[in-house]
Amino acid sequence: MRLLIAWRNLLAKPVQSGLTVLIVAATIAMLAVVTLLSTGTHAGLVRATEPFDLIVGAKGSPNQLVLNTVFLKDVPIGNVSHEIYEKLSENPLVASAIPLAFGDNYKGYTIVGSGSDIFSHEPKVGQGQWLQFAAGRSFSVPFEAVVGAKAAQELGLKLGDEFKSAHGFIPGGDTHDHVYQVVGILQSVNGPYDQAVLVPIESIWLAHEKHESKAEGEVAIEDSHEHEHEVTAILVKPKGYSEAMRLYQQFQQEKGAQMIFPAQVIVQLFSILGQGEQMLRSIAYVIIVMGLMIMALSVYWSALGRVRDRSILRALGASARDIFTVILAESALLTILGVVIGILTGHGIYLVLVKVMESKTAIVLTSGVIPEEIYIVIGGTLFGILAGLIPAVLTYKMDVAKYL
Amino acid sequence: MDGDEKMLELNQVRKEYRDVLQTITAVAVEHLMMQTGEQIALVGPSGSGKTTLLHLISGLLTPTAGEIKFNGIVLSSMPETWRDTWRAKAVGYIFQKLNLLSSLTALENLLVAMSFANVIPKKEQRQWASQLLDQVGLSDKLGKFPHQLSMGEQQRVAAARAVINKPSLILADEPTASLDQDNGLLVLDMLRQFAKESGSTLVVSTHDRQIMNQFERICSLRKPSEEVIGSATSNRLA
Repeated sequence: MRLLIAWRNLLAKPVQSGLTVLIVAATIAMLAVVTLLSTGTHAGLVRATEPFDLIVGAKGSPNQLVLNTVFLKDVPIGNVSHEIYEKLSENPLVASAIPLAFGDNYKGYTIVGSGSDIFSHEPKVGQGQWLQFAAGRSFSVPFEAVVGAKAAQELGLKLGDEFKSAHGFIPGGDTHDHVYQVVGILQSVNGPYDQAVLVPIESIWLAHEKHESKAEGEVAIEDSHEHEHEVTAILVKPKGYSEAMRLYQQFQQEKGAQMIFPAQVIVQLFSILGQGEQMLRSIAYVIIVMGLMIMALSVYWSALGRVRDRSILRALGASARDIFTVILAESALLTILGVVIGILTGHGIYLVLVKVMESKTAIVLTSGVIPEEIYIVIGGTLFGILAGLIPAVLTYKMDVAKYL
Repeated sequence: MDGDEKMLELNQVRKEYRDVLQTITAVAVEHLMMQTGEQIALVGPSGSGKTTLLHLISGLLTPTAGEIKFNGIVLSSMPETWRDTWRAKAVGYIFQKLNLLSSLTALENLLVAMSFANVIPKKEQRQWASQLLDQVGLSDKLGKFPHQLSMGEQQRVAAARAVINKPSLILADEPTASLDQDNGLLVLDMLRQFAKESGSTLVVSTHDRQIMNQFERICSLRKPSEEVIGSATSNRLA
C-alpha cells in the first residue's frame, strides 16, 4: 500500500515528477557519457594497436608512424628499404615480418599493400587470425584486392567488382591505370582496418613505378626488378617478450628506420594528453556535482510538494516509519526511473559518438557496460534517495494540523 | 451503550500559538467529559476553536496546558508513535476540508486508512471497504478518484473512511458545511447510525442549528480573545 501511495503520488503530479526524472536522467546521462567516452577512447585506441606488436618505419615521429600504420590516418613519414624488411624476416628473434605500403586510396579508403601472410597474422597465439574472410579469398597475384568490412559496405564493393586506385590519401588524386579486382571481403575487426583495401604490395610498386614514369613524361614501361622497392612500414611479430626487447635494442643501431611499440606510444600519447583530459574531467566533475545538487534539490522540492498528502497520512495514523517509507519510495522511484533513463540515454549518446568517431577517425571505441557505471547507478540512486530523507525528517517533525 | 463509562476527559486544556509580539489562544477548555457511546454537538461561532479542539482530541495537536485523557490515559504523555497507532485504531476523523488523498481512488482511500490501523484482517479489508462504500451509495464509484466525485460523494467517502476501522471515537468537523440539506442529513444519519450500532462516541462540530438540534448534548465554545504574552484567557465550555 505504501508503494502504491508513492507511485500514485508521482502520477498525480506528472509535470513535477517528470521534471525531476528529467533532471536526474540528464545528470546521470552526462556522467555516463563522460565515463564511457574516457574509458571507451582509451580501450578503443589500445585495442586498435593489439595486432601490432612492433612497427618498423622511417625515422621520425613515432606518433605519426602509429597514426599512419595502425589508424590509417595522417601521411607516412617516409619509406624504408626492402633490405630492412628482408633482414627482419631472417632475424631469428622474429616470428613474422609483414611489409606494409601506403600511398594510394580508393574514394578516400586507404589502400594497404602487403603480403598475403598478413591474412595468417595472429596477434596473440591461440586467439585466431586478425583478418578473417567473410567472403572470397586472399589475393594471389598483383591487382587483386581484399576489402575491409566497412569499406566494402560503404563503397558497395562485392566479389568480382573492379576499381581503379588514386594516388595519395584523399580522394581526387591522379587515378592509376591498373584495375583492381575484388577477390575477398573481410569480417569486421572493429578497428581501423575495417576501412582498408588490402592489395599485394607488388601492385603498389607497379602502380607507383608507372605513376613516377608518367610524371616524368616518359613512356610507361615497367620493370619492377630494376626499380628499388621500398616499404612504408613493417609489422613485426617477435617470438616472445624477451625477443621483443632484444630486437628493440638491436634496432636502435639501425640508421634508416625506427622500431616502436605502438601500445607504448599510445600510453605516452595519453600521458601527454593527460593534463588536458584531466582538465576536461575536472570540468565534467564540476558539472556533475552541480547536476547532482540540482537533482537533490529537485527530489527535495518534489517531496516537499506533497506535504499536505503526508499530513493526511499522519492524521490517518501513519507512523514515522510509514511516512519515511512513502517519501523514500517516492524518491527512490523518481531516482531509479531517472537513473535508468539516464543510463540508457547516456549509452544512446555514446553510441552516436562512437559512430561519429568511427567515421571521422576510424577509431572504434569500445561499447558496453563498464564497471564505473555500476558506481554511477548505485551512487546516483543513493544520492537521490538521501535527498528525499531531508523532507522525510522535516515532514515528520512539522505541525501537520495546519495542512489539514 | 454503557452510559456510565468515562471515555474522554479534558481538564484545563489550552492551546496557544505564540509569535514575537503576542500569544494567541486558539482554544481553552476548563472541563469536558464524554462517555462511551455519547453523541455530542460542538457548537460555536467561526474562530471559536472547534477545529483546534478536535485536533487536540485526536492527538494531532498537543495542548499548551492541561490534559486530555482517553480511557484514563493522558494523550500528551504517550510517545508520538503510540499516539499515531492509537489515532489509527481508535479515532475516525472527518475533516472540514475532507482531506481525501487525491491520487487514490475512493476504495483506496479507505484501504489506506485500514493499512495503518490493521484492525480488520488483511484478507477482509477490501471486502469491508467495498461494503461500506456500498452502504453510503457509492458501490459504482469505487474506482473513481476524488476529483471525479461530487462534493456530496466525496463527503460520503470521507465519512466511510472515518468509520472504516470501527473506531471508538468519531470526530466530524462541520461534516455538512459544504453539502446541500439532503446530502448533509444523509451523512449525519450515517455517522449517527454507525456510532449507535458500534457504541462509538461521536463528536460533531457544527454551527447549523438544524444539525445541533438533533443532538441531546450540545457543548458550546466561545470565541477566545487575543492576549498579550503573560495574560490569561478563560474560555469556558458551556
